[in-house]
Amino acid sequence: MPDTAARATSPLPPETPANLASRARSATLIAAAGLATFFVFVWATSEIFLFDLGEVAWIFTSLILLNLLLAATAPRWAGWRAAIYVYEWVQVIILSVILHRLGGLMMGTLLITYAFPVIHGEMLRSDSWVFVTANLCAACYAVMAWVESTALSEVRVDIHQQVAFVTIAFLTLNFVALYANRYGSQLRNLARHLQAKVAERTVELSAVNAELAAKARALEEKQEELKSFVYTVTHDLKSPLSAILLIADLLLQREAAGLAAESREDLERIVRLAGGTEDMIRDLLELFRITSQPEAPAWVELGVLVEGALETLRPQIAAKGARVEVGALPRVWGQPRKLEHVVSNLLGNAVKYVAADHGEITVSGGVENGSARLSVRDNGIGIPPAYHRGIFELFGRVPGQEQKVDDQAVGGTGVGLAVVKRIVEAHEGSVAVESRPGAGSCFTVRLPASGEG
Amino acid sequence: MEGAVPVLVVDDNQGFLRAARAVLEEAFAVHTVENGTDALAFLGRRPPFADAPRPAFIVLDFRLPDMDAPAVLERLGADTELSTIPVLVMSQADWEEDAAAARAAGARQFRVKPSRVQALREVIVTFWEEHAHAGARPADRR
Repeated sequence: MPDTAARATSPLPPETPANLASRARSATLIAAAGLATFFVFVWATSEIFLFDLGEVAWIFTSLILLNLLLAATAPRWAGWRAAIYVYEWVQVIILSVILHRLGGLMMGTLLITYAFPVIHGEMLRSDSWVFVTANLCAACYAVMAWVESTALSEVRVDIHQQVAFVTIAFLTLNFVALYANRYGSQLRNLARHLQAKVAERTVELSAVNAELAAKARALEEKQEELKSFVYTVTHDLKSPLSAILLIADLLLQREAAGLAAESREDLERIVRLAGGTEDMIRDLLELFRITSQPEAPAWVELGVLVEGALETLRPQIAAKGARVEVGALPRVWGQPRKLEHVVSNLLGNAVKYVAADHGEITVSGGVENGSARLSVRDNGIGIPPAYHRGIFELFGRVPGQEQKVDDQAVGGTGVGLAVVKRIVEAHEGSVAVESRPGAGSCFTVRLPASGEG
Repeated sequence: MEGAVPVLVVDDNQGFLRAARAVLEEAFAVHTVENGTDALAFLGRRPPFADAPRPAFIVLDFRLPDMDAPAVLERLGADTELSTIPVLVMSQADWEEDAAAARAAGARQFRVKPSRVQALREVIVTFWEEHAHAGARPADRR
């Protein structure tokens, strides 16, 4: 049969005992309900059709009780194939007895009642045995016709018509069996196919998960390695440098009076150069620390970050006498500490590059085209276009002689904006600058307005 | 320096020792060692430090050639007498993990090493005033 063939060709899992039991239980409960309904119908129409209830009532009752008992004990017998057919066939024969007692073939609609055991058999067990049930039903029908032959002849159903009825019964019931079997096997194939797919996907998924976990572990190890590398470099680079600085500084202080002007300048140059390198190492370390620190994303109010940064910068802002204006700012989904670093860096730069007593810094923002914007505008010294790209690179900065605020060269290591760029890009955002020398600068950060940035 | 408060500075960087000595000599009797083993021998008065004084406080570098500051601190912590000496741990970098490890092992303070004499003096003197200034006083500063 098609069903067995399908089972042989595709590696489908067999049905579980629990599955079989649940099917057996629902089938026997449906049978009990069907029999009860039929019994009620017979009882209600007994006056019209002159049914003799006394003879069938106890058979009905015991058959219903049997089905209920079988439903209750389904897990015990559902896996036993023969039991199902014995049950099905016994039921067909008893049903025939009931039908015969009620008037047999005199009831024109009798044939339809035999469709139920066939469908029922299919529900319980889907295989070719359903045809045996169908033919048993047809045989019962034939036996009934034979037993009632004389009575039928009396109502002008002659022997040819009786044979025709029986033939129709065989054909109809076999077709019912065929339909039920095909339909049932299709349903079950689909179910098994789905089960197999789910199992297959589950295997694939766990493989992918294992791979991901391995990658995460490898990444963690790399991170650890990088960390220890940076740690070592920091200590080994910074230690001698800081010693040079300390000793040069000591010399300057101790010998201040005795040093020739030229020697003093040389010493000061040493302190300045070594100090710059030390700042670079410090900022590089900061860059590594800020960008490598894992941090859970959360909703971040940019307004709150700006407020905090301005609070920290208050002494510098007061010293410069700068005016700061802050507009309404959006909130974004991101890593709070890293974004805090971005905000304080941009504001710190703005304060650093405005002239004393004329500084104006404007912080504005909004949501445009699905991205949140933060702009920090200043009226400071500005940045020549040639450096617009370079300032976002590590150690990239405008040369000192082109960077004078109030005739003072402004120091820096060229790490700050590189960190800003890295953080913003890790948030799937972008940072851009608009600026002309003498006309101030405007740094604009765009971040996804929402999502798992 | 006769009668001055003894201080132990542990650091493998001779430049730092030189600067620390210059900064502290004004007020303290400065003793220096360059690794953890010597520091423990000094504090335990084992040869060649048999007649070493008990320092009023210790300035300890986080990264020593033979062990790190937490390892030294743990050994000190095991000794009831030595565990009461205040320890200032200094490092080249302000790694939060290092600071936490040093504090957990018993350091009173964790600071980044300053690179200017004035700043170094401030860090150490402030530490002295806050943590070690019970009873003993450093000699008058010049």
